[in-house]
Amino acid sequence: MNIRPKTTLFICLLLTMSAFYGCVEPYDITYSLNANVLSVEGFVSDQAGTTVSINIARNSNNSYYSEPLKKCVAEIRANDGSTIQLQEVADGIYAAPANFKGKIGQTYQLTFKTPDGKTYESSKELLSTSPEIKKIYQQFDPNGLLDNLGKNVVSSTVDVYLDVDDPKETQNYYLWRWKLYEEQSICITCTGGRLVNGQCVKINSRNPPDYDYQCDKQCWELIYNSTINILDDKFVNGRSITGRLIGKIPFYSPSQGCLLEIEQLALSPQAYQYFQLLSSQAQNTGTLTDTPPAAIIGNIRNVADSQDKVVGFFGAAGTRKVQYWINRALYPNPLVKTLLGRAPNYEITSFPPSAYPCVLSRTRTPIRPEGWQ
Amino acid sequence: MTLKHLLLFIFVLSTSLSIWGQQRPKFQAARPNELSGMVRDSLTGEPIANAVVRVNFDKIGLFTDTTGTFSVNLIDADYVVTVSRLGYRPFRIKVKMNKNIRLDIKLMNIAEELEEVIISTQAVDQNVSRPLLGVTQMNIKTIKRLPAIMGEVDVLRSLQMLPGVTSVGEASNGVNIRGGAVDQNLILLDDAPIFNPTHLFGLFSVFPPDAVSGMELYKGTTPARFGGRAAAVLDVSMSNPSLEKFSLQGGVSFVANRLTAEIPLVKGKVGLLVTGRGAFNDFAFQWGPQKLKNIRASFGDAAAKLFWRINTKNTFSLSNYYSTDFFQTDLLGGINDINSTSTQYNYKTLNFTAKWFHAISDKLNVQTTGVYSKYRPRILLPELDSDNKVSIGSEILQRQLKTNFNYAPNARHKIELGVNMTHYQLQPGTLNPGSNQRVNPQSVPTENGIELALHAEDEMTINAKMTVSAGLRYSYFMALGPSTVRLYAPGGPRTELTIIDSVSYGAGQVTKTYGGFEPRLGLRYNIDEQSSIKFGYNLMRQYLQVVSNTTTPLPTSRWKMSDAHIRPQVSQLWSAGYFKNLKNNIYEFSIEGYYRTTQNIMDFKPGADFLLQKYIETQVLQGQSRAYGAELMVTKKKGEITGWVNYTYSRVLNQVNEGQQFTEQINDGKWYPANFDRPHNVNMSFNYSENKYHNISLTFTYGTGRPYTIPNGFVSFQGKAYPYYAERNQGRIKDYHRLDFSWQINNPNLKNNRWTGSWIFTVYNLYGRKNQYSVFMRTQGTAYTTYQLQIFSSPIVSLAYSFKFM
Repeated sequence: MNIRPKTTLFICLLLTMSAFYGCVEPYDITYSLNANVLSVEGFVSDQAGTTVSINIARNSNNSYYSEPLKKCVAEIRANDGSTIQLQEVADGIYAAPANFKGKIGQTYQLTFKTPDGKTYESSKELLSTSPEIKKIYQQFDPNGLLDNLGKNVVSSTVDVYLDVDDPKETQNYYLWRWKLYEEQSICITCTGGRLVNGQCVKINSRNPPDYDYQCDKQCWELIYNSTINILDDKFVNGRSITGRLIGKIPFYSPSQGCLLEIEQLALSPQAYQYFQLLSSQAQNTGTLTDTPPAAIIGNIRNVADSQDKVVGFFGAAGTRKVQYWINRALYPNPLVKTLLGRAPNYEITSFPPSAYPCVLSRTRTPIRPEGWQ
Repeated sequence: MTLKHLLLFIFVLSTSLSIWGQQRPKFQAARPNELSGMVRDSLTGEPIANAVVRVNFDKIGLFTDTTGTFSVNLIDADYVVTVSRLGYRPFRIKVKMNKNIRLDIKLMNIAEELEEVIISTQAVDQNVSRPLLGVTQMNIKTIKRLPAIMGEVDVLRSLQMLPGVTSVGEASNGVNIRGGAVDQNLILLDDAPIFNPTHLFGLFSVFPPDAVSGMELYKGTTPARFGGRAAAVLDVSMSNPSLEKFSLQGGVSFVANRLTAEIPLVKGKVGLLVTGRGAFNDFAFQWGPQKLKNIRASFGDAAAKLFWRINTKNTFSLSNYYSTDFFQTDLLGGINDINSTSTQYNYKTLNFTAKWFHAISDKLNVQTTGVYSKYRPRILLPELDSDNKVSIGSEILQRQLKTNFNYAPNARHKIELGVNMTHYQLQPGTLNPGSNQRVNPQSVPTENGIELALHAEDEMTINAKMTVSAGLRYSYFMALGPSTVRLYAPGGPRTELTIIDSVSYGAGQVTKTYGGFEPRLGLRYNIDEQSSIKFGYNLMRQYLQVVSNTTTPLPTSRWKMSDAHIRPQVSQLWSAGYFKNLKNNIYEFSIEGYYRTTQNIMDFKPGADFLLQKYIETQVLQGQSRAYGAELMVTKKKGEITGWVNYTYSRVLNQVNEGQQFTEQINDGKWYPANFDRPHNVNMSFNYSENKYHNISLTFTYGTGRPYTIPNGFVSFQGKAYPYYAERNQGRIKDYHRLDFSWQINNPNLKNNRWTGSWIFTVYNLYGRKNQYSVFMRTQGTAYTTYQLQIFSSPIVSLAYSFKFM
């Protein structure tokens, strides 16, 4: 075997260098999950639409699911003595009356009683005002979205940034979140089957196709932010926060625009700490400086039993909401990742082709959003 | 070319070499000649019977008779003749048979060899007789022979080959000794403390290899003169420069280049040692794959020591140490609230030690030492499209003055008395935005403290069988103002919401004191000349500690002095051991057991944030720790093959339970394994040196995987899954093991020049074990995937060159 000294040297050099680089790979491990914990989340804001969701996270072996906790008696107490009764509007979702808006400067506390008679309460949360969003703008990133291991580009993105002036007098904690409206043309995919009378029916074949069916009317897909975007103003108090990245919106279509609804919440210090903990458990992992895991316990407690653990947080937050239209046609040759993740496969045998209704849910709506162009 | 090819190449090369070595002589001539000889003991001259004589490594050899003679007929050819006998160092010679040859062979008795300290669990000069327990000496020669990662000789990595010394894994910023945390070790380089013992985040240790003369590790009985840390003492000393002869030594490796000079300034009076090491090869990364492009790593260290022999009764030495590091990789987490393009670490140490030794009489001497030590880590955050970097830094300044009296009135007593004063100044955090207009400058108030200590110790020889070392230290710590001390509502957690009052203290005012006695006891009883049993007891107090919420403390981790809320750590250690020397001191066997308890260990609250935090007590909890273990070790100290094998069983468990509330407990207040709890450890080190030109070393290490926290379930919020952790450290990563190899060729031209060079070929992680560093989880939507982070997961081959010029 012949090996040139230069090649050897180069390999050695490469190996030496690779030592500095950590290697991240999927790891096959089976968990024996066993936690059954109550989880609560919700915000009172100075906008309409206060809802609280109460669930039980059920975990067994290697799987988990969220079971809505129905028939709770829930109310929000304000420090002016008023109470707001919450109604169960969907399984496990409790809403304040449609006209209810929180007042800046008030504190709010959630209490609820479960069907098995346990009483829980949150800490009192102060509703403080959120500064106005000064400017929203976008930038094109041709290689914006990478795959899970960070190796390959999946899609180009439009990156949305905002500017806000931080008030000097107060300690401010920010949470930004968004909801994206994308026009959706396909309302159902029958995996290994076809649509017959509004139902997916299996096709008897060795390799049955997956057929996609269009929506019966205009329909929008709702996509939410998947990362927690928070900021403590301890380093920037009283200054202008510029160029805060709000979201990287993939090119689900090469030129069709989309509507982004951005919310800026003014958190309390406790809420900020909770969301920081939550984000550190799910986001900042894999680095040498990782924070070791900790229980995501927020501000809800069982009144009678301090050992009963509840995850989640009930907060009060002044909220700013802005609609922002993203024009994708500005950018030539983007890399597109469709909502389906592949080219649609319509069933062409039936004519006219069957359509499927656009059903209102957390991720889909037939109601034309305000500001849609 | 792939790695497989390279390994194949090495394999083929080594196989062909060994085949070449065993080549049979060719039959060229028919007439045999006689090879005969006499084998004798080199010292006594006595003939050695039953020595085995082998020709060309044949399996069957012949024996010498009672007069030590042998003879064999061989046809004309070249032969390798070896003569060996148990207990003697083998003899080898190459002979060319074209006539009758008679050899006069002298074998050296291993037991009579001057022993070179390889490693010893007892002080070698006093062998089994010293009363201290758990003291390990390691010679720099031994350290230099061990396979070193990327050819960089490393004190800390070598230490991990000893029983009772572990770490959390690769890239750990320090070692854990007998269940102690990394910051519980007092690491001294010429009496000055080293706050961060590693370069490049745990890759290399900071000690300049050519300037270190040796080290002593006290993991059991700690002499009373040491204090300030709870677990162990690593005392590394720098060599004194030669006062007679100029010499130069240095080396080149893939990673670093180094140079050391010893310069006699005034012959016989004043000498200077200067050493420097630098690693600035990271420019190579830009040609590497995309992933490596963002990596920058460089470090340097330099030390100097001036030694002045004033007269026969006085000496004076001044040593200085400087180290700097710069490190940037995507593996470092960012600072969430400041926008930056990357995260960089930069840390520097600057130490000075002045030492005056004065012999008052033959029996009494006094040693006075002054120490100045400064450690300054920085996190740098470069801005996009700007040269500006936002920096967040901290600083520790330690100044110390101590005097020791050593008095040996007779052979039965060795008495030591001392006084020690240390001033700590700690700047916990400053943020300097530079030209960045969007970030505010910040500063956390400076902490001040004084530690005073008195100690007395007597090593007493009670009778021929019993020796006792009894020491007592008294330490007293004062936390000083200026500072604001908050008062929290009693019986509840310390949070922003439970403050009831705060008290301001002026500069120099004492805000809180701690102190107490620290007894140190060592007892030795000789069973016979070759074996002894020992007992030890230790109490140590620690007033300065690292606050860290990561698996291994970062170089930039914050240090914290004890104050009104943070209590000092107090550790007690009981230990016992049995020691035996075997076969004329060729082998040494030891078994030691220990039990340790520590009060006021520090752990962090969930979601704790220490960065620029003014009131650290709101972020941490204090609890207790217990550790126990047994250590077994066999060392072969002499002969062609030297080395050791050891096994350690050890546990470390913590409990944190400050109150009833969830936020005041960790793991519901129940005991949980510490991050560095790794029950089983095996280390093996073999060193083969046939002659002074070749030296081959193999080391193997195995350890149970460290604990980590696995989720008990998942919770979904906003359509995204989040892991839910209920218990701490109930899972373990995969077991760790690794084999390293090194081959050192000294002075390859075999000439006795003033210049001698040596090549060191090293393979770290020879069989490419993919050791896990961490296991973690990422969720996407409602799905989760578990990942493992592996570092050094393939063999790392390196070649280094060292030279000496005398």
